[in-house]
Order: sequence, then C-alpha cells, then structure tokens
Amino acid sequence: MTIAPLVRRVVSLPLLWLLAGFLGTTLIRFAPGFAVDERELDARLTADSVASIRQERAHQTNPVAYYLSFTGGLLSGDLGVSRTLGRPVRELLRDRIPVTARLAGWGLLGAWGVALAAALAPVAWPGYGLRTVTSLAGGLILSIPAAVVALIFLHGNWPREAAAAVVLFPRLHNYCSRTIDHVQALPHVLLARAKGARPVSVLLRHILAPALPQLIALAGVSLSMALGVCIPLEVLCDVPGIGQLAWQSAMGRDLPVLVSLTLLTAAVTMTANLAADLTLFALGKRT
Amino acid sequence: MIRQFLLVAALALPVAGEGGGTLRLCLRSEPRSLHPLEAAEESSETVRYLTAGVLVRINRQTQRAEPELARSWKITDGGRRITFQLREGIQFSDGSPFGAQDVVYTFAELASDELRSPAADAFRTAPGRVSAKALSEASVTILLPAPVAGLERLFDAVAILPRAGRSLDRSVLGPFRISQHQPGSFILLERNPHYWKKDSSGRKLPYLDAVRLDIQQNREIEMLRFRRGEIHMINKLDPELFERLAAEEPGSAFNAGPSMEPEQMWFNQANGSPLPEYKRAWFGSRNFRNAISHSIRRQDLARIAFLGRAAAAAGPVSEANQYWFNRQLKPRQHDPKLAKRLLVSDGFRWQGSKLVDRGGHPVQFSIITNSGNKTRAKMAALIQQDLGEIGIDVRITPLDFPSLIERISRTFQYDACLLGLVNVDLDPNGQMNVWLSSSGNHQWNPNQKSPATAWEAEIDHLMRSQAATLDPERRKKHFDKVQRIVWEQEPFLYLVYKNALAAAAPSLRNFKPVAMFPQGFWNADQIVVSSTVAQSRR
Repeated sequence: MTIAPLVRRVVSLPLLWLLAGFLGTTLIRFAPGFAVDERELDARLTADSVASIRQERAHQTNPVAYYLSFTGGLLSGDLGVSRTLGRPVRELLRDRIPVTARLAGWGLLGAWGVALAAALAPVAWPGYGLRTVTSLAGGLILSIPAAVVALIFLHGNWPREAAAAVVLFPRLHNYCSRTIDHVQALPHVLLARAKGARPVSVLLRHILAPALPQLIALAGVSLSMALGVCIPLEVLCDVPGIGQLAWQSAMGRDLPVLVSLTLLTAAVTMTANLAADLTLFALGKRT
Repeated sequence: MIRQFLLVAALALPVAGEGGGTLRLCLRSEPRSLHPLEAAEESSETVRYLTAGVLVRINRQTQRAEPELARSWKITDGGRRITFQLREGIQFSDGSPFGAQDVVYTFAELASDELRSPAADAFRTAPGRVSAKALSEASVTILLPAPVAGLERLFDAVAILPRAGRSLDRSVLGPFRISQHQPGSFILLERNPHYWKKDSSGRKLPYLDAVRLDIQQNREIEMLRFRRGEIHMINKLDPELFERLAAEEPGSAFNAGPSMEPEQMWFNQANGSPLPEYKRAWFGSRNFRNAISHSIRRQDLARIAFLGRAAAAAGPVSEANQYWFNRQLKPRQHDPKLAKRLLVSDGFRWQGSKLVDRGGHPVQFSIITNSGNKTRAKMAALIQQDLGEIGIDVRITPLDFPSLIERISRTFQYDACLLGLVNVDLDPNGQMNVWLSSSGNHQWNPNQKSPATAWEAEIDHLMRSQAATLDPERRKKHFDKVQRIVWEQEPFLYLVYKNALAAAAPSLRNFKPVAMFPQGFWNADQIVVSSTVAQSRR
C-alpha cells in the first residue's frame, strides 16, 4: 500500500473545490430569469429606481469576472450580500448552519442506528424472517417521497430530525444490507459457520470487520445524502436552515448565496469522503 | 369557588379593561429590510406599519387621511408645499422628544439618491429634490419639486425617524418596537412604553404587550399552527383553507369582501417581441381581446377557482376602493355569440371546430403564469376550457417567477400572461407607472417612445391631467374615463377580485379585517388577546 494516491487526492481537493464553485456560478448565471428582480414589477418605483435595481446585478453577468471577485472576497471572509434577503451571506450561513447540522446530524444518527440494526439483526438471529421484514419496511419507506414524509411529520407535529432519519433509513439500509449479505457469502464466513461458531460471534468477528471499509465509505457518502434530504424537509416544514436557504436562493437566482452554498456543500462532501479515505488508510484496508 | 369567581370576573371585564397578551401571527417571508424607509415588500411593510409613526395615516376602514403625528396640515403653492402642525409632548420609544427636526432629518434621508424604495419614489415626481424645513419645534414645511395631487396620502408610508445620532431600532413612534430578531425564524415586537395614543377611556395604547411575527412561508403550516392555537391570526387566507376553516370553526373565518388584488390576463403587444406578425395582429385587435373577454366565464372563475370567494372584475379598480371605483362599469358577461361576431368582423372563421384567422393560421396561443399557485392554475385551466369552446387552442405554461418576469419584461417571448398585479395605493397616482405608455410597467407594451395607439395617448393625457389638478372631483372624472377606456380596449382583461379572507382566534378582540393592507391588524394598537378565551380554546 502506498500513500501517493492519497497525497495526490489531498492536493487536488482545493482545485476540485474551486472548480465546483465555478461550475455552480456558471450554471446559475445562465439560468432563465437570472438577470431579473421581482421588484421590477413594483409599479410604485420610478424608472430610475428600476434601472438602479437592474444595475445591482450588472457585476454578476460575467461568470469568470464574478467568480474571481467572489474568491478574492472569500479570502478575506466576505461572501457578498444576499440579494433576496438583503443580508451578508456570512451571517446567513452562520445562523443557519447549526440548524441544518442538528437536523442532518440527528437524522443520520437515527438512520444509521436503525439501518445497521436492520441489516445485522437477520444475521445475528437467522431463521425468523427478519430479512424479509426489514427489506419490506425499507422498500415501503423508500417508495414514499421525502416531501410526503415531511408532511406526515408536520401534521403529526413530530420531530423533524425523526423525519430526516426516516427518509435516510431505507437508503442506508439498502447499502448496509447488501454489503453485509455480500460479506456473509464469503468463504471464511461459511467456514466459521460450518465450524459451529455462534451467530453473534460470526457477526462481530467475521462479518462486521471485513464490511467496515465499505461502511466507512458509505458514512462519507451519507453526509451528502443527508444534506440533500434537508432541502425538502426544511422547505416543507419551514425549518430555517441551509436547505431552506438553498431553495429560496434558487427561486431568487441569488448568486452570492448559491455559490457559497455550492462551495459549502462541496467542502462538506469532499471532507467527509477524505475523512473516510484517511480512516481506511489508517486501518490499512484501502481498496 | 374562588377559581370560579375569578373566571367569571375575568370574562366580565370590558374590552378596554383587558390588556396584555402577545399577538402571534406569521410573515410569509423574511423582511428584506428593517429600515422603515426601505420597506418595499409586504413583510418589511408589516414591520414598518407596526413600529413606525407617520404624520398622516390612511384610516383603513374609511380610507380617508387622518391626522397622526401631525395635528393638522395645509397644502399650498398649488400642491407643491405641505405644512404640518405637529402634536406636542410626543416621545420616541426611548423617551426622547419628537419634534420638527426629526421630520426634517427623515426627509433628508428620504431624498438621498441611494434610497430606492416606493416611499421615496412617491416624492420623485419631477426632477429636483423634496426638502423639509422646520418652522418651529412643532411646525414643519415640506416642499416638493412639482405639485402632487392627493399629497397628504403619501405620508402614510413615511416613517418618521429619530434625528441623527439615535438608535433606529430603539427609537420609534409606532405602537411597538423591535425587541428581538431571529433571522429566518421570528421577529418579536414589544409595546412602545411611550406610545402617544390613548383609547376613549384615557387608557394608554396599545393593549397588547407584544406581537410575535413568525416567519412561515408554508401556508398549510400556518393554518396548522392556527388550528393548534399557536398563532392568532392569518391574513390573506387562500380560499381553500378559508373554506376548510369556515366548515370547522365558522366563528374564526372572516370574509372582508373583495380585496384590491385583481387577477388579470393580457396579451403581448410589445414592439420588440419576437411574435409572428399574424399573432401581433390578433393581440393588437380590440375585437380579438373583447372576444376573448366575452368567452371567459368570470363567474365560474370566482365560483370554481376561488370557491365563491371572489367577485367578477370590471376594471383596474376594485369596488373595495370606495372613492376611485367607477361604478358605471360592469364585468363583461360570458357571451360566446357576441365573441364570435367580434371575431368574424376581424376576418376570423372556423375550419371544423377550429378557429383560424384571415390568413388561415389556427388561433393557438400559450398563457404563461407563475407556477406553484394552485388557484391561478385552476383559473388557467378554466380559461383554456372556455376558449376551447370557441375553437381557440390554449396552452398553459407555468414558469417560476424569475423566468416569468424575464419573459414579460426582457425577452417578450410570450403570447399571453395570467397574473395578479397588486394595487397597493388607493390613489390613481399609485397606478401611474402602469398606465403611462412610456413606463416599464405598462405590461402589454412597455417603454413606448410615443403612444402606439390613440387610446393609449388619451390615457397618458388623462393620467397626467388627474395628477396635475388638486380638485378631487376633476381627478375622479379623469380617472373614471381612464377606467372606461381600459374597459373598452381591454389591454388587461380583468377577471376577478379575490376576497380579503382572514382567520382570527376566538381570543382576539377588536379584530375588524378590511380589504386594504394590512387587513387584519390595521388597528393593532387596539387589538386584545384575551387569555381567558385562549386557555378555554386549548
């Protein structure tokens, strides 16, 4: 095993991160309705005011120039001002990141707990039809759109974190159970069982340990999944987090906010994946 | 026994004897600015209405201008100058005195070139600046660059700021001041301890201790929270939610009648539009527009799309506007025979069941509207069905709002648009930018160098004339004529005026919703949340 690929990856991450931000800027810039502002329809405003409102966006029309000035500001911690909310983007992120972190964090914790339990229980206690039950439950929940789950929890006045866990659970369960099933079929597990090892011992010593690298990789990916799940949940349940901000900004073509969110999401995803890789490297089991 | 006695005593208290309580309601978006002079959208204007003191207030029930911080006023110099006599002994919420210098400072801020807001633009009627001069500590004169008809009404939107050096957050003259703001979540307003108004029994207003404005975009959640007793009031209720509430809790559903918000449709007649010539000819024809108008069942739109909570529209002014509504105009009736006659007179004919024009082009157009508005989507579907009956093929194209604005104001890539353009101001001057052919908000054909048609030239003339005269009756005559021309020519097909629907918890006292903004809480300083009723409801 060599450290070189890992070093290359770490070095390329900032470039990838900046590229993600630039692609985001370009996509938003060329989205229909980018150059307009709702205030233009306000009949109380004079032509000069409307012209002035239009001018506010003039410096954002060239994506390359804008992105260069944005990254320049980024170095000094200035992310610009949201045009839809009229507040500095830094303040918006500072207020909203903890809200989403709590929602996604508890959601992930709950979903991982249930998904792992549902994937491992049939191994520990085979012969009770648990695999069928958990697969059916996972499939059923997977077929319910996240928005519907959000509405159910909203009407029940149940915690939004639980809704996040419910939406994430089937996705994680799917991967977990497939990984466990794959490892379960490996020869060393069959041999251990043939030798009469107890199911719990087989699970802990012969299944979980080899499955760990895939599960760690999945943990990295699950963070991005959780961020994706937060958008419909926060929008429908009116949770003032990053997901809601992303939605509002997309509706308002709010370039400074959207570029900041793109960079934030890219940073979180890359960091999580890198952390997973480093963990695997540390375990000496990088595939 | 003692508890029973206390309960009876509490219920027996007269309204004026009650006090306190926190009124909870929702804002539909985060205010764009909390600076009262910058307020431009409903959330910011709500905060301004509840916190700011103004010289003149439009009474939302009578729709007349009434003295507020100003005891009286006098308009001179042919409508260019207004001199206010201020009330004395009034204090800002921080205890500092209010006087003429505060008004002078406010108008200096308002005249700033950087300030782009409806309140500031209302005074920018001609080149030059508005200026204010203190004549004494209780008298101030304001000079405008040009005469403005209905001048005193403009001051309803001008929040008086404390003179330089004092905190804008803590020094207000309205019934409440901002106590806490959690962006994206809520704004808490607390009672202004130095508010100057008193009720008829001499008790200090407001009755409420606080107003909590929760930022809640989702209307379903808003209703859910109302049902749970978490909020006390909902303004601008959707007809569907209103019906549900009226069925469950009839005493909580309030219908204040037609609002000032029309639903309208117009055809693209813009000079620079990329439409083919034959379509430009259709949309430019009065007969064609009138025929479309006569083919639409307005009563059905009101009955089906708005569940009966709307009124068929005749023109640009709602009947809720007590003075300016032209009562001679009636909504166009559904009359397919007349519609067909009008089309035939323009050379249209039918090939089978399909309508074609003089050149054989099938009459087919799309209507763009904003996505996510269920009521408007229903309206579009009904219009599609109505027009289908006379052989017109209509396609509905819902777009998100920025895309829609781009099409109607920049690229002009659309045939027809269905939208609601809100009349915020009662006065016709508030609609000046809609009717002047040179304006960017003259939606069907904006930014004209010279009026494209004779009737648009006449509207230009009438709008300018009504703005130039101070005689209300002459103004009314001119604006009635504008409404008549619009009714005849139908550059906008006015469809319905939706009703001002509201919900109020039984615990609210003095809740008297009106059609004008801010509907349910226009009298916020007199509203009471009765804790006794609130507890029994829960």
